[in-house]
Amino acid sequence: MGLDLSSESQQVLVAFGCYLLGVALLGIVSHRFLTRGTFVKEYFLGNRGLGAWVLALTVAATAISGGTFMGFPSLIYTNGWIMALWICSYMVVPITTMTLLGKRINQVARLSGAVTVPDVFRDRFQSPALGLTASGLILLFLAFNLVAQFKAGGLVMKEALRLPPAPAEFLRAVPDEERNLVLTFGLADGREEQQRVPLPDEAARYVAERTTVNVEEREVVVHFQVGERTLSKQVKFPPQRLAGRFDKGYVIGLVIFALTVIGYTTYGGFWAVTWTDVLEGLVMLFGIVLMAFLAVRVVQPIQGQDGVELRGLAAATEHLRQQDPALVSGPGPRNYLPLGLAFSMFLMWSMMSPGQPSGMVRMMSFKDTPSLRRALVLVGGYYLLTYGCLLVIFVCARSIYPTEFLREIGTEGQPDSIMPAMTRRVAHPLVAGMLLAAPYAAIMSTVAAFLLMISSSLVRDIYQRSINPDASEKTIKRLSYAATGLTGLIVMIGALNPPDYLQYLIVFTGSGQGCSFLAPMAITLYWQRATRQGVLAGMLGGFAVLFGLYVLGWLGVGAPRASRFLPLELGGVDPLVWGLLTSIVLSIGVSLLTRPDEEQAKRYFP
Amino acid sequence: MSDPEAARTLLRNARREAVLTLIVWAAALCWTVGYCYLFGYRHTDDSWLVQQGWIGARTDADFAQIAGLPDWVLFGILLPWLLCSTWTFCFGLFIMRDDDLGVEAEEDVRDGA
Repeated sequence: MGLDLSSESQQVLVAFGCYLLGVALLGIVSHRFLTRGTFVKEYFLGNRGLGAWVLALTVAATAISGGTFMGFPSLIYTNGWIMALWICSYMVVPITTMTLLGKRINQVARLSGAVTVPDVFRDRFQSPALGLTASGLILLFLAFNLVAQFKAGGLVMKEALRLPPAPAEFLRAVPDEERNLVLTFGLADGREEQQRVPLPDEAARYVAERTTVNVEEREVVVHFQVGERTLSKQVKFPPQRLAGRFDKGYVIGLVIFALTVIGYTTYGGFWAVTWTDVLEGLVMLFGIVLMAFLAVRVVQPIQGQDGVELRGLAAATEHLRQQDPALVSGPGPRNYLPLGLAFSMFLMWSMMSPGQPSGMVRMMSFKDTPSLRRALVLVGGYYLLTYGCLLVIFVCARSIYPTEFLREIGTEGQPDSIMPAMTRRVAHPLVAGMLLAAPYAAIMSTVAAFLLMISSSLVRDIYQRSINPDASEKTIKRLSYAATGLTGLIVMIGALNPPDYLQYLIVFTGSGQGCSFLAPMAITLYWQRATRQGVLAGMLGGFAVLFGLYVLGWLGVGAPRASRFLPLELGGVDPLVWGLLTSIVLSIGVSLLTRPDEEQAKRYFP
Repeated sequence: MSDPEAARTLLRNARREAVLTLIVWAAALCWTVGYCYLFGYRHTDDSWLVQQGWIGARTDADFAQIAGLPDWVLFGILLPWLLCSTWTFCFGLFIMRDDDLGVEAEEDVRDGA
């Protein structure tokens, strides 16, 4: 299987290779730690030994995922400065994530010997049903989320490889009823393949006679007439395929990504995940700070409103104002962030973060409170730099590429391609490789944490605690390796041909975890009067309301939406607000209506 | 077995720190969303807020930038973010108490079953 790579792609891959080598070495070193203490506690929790730096970077790297480096940049590029308001609740995420539950969950976990989040619920209330419900919800949410994260990992690697499109012959282009232009190509093996391009505008008319084909570059340039204006778009030939079906570049990228992350997570367990998080966290930070610096330098100077020449970020902001004033004011283009949604987004990032079980596990694993305090300081600075730089980079990107990556009229690609495009635009290929490693690192750290969560749910919560409590350490060890590795391989197969709506599933699963776990965990830790019935009601009620609003949206109830997978926004706010409120009300209400186990509560409230 | 007095102290401190966090969270929410809505969003003459005299009408012509940032981003987002970061540093360094997290329980998976 020969790979036709440009010299630029080879240089990018060299930088990528160095990074992957570092990750693999950390995985191997981490494996040596698994011989200390009990295997389960070491493999899934690092024997509660995380210091400040490792804790800070693992918390930050786990929270920052593929969406931060792929989806969020495309949203800044499309909507401009209003995205600063969309993301700004990260100003309080360090304190909500680490101080709302952190110290207390660590204490309770030590008291009961809990290794996983379901362990905490189960032990606090002596309720296997509660533990199994929590495990079931975690498995459901994380399995879907992992497929989407694997897909993002494969796409980044595909961008690093940049295989040229397949050799083909352009046959015809015809608009369809869904306002797409459908281009048909004849492949070398006689098959036909189509590429779809959205029409730039409702009134756009395809001008067939102006279509040109560049066989050397393997692309077609199509033209549209929109009133007086003529717009053009480049459409690449179809991608090279494996077995006539799978995108070759994506499959190679996915396999490299999956084998690396499955390998080090399975072999090294929690320590491998956290140590690679440290490397990944540093790569991300270094990458985006450097990129922000480079991006500001390539913005074209422009005259401001008062006639003064503007440079750097000031020039970028002025470029945006001149392109579309909605890019520099609220609620953004096409009423992107109305007041209700701005409120919802603040709530989402700041309150969903402490509600994620992957974050809770990290709070169960630090070694002492000085480590927590110092980590808090580090995470505070980390988020400020990360999100500040991302905003600067992609505001600059919009000024550099005014329309080239817009969904409807982009001539070079979709908005999701803006991150790789910017890295190649502003940096030398070797540096671009390092910059591209930043989103890759973000995805890897999230995937590794989720893989371990799923594996711990299967091995610890379901097998060891519910099926075979007498299982030997050797059996648990083998099962842990097998569960982590097999989960990864199954998800990789699921991600070979993932459906397009997975981005909506990421939002759903993130909100779902927060709605299901935040309020129940808070009353479990802080309220002596809490009962297992209350916690169970809060967990299932929060999930049910959120799920119900997504189902109603899918059924088309309420105002028309851009996609059928978008939920019903009751009262103009995101479903997570209703899910969270329901969870709080049910957790407290049902606890008050039922009788707590006084003896059991005394153990945790001396 | 953990020291009960140390465990009580941790619970008391953790509750106090959680309440402080919620206060800062609420203040940040009001400031950022409130300020940006009032001074960063476009408001026409017939909007309720303008008619009540809370704010003046804001159109595209009112745009101003300071140091490369729209003015509403500077005062509605960057400033509170810097203050929150300062609070986070102070909280981590001076306000949060060091507590004894207790002793790890003996491993016995059957306890909770």
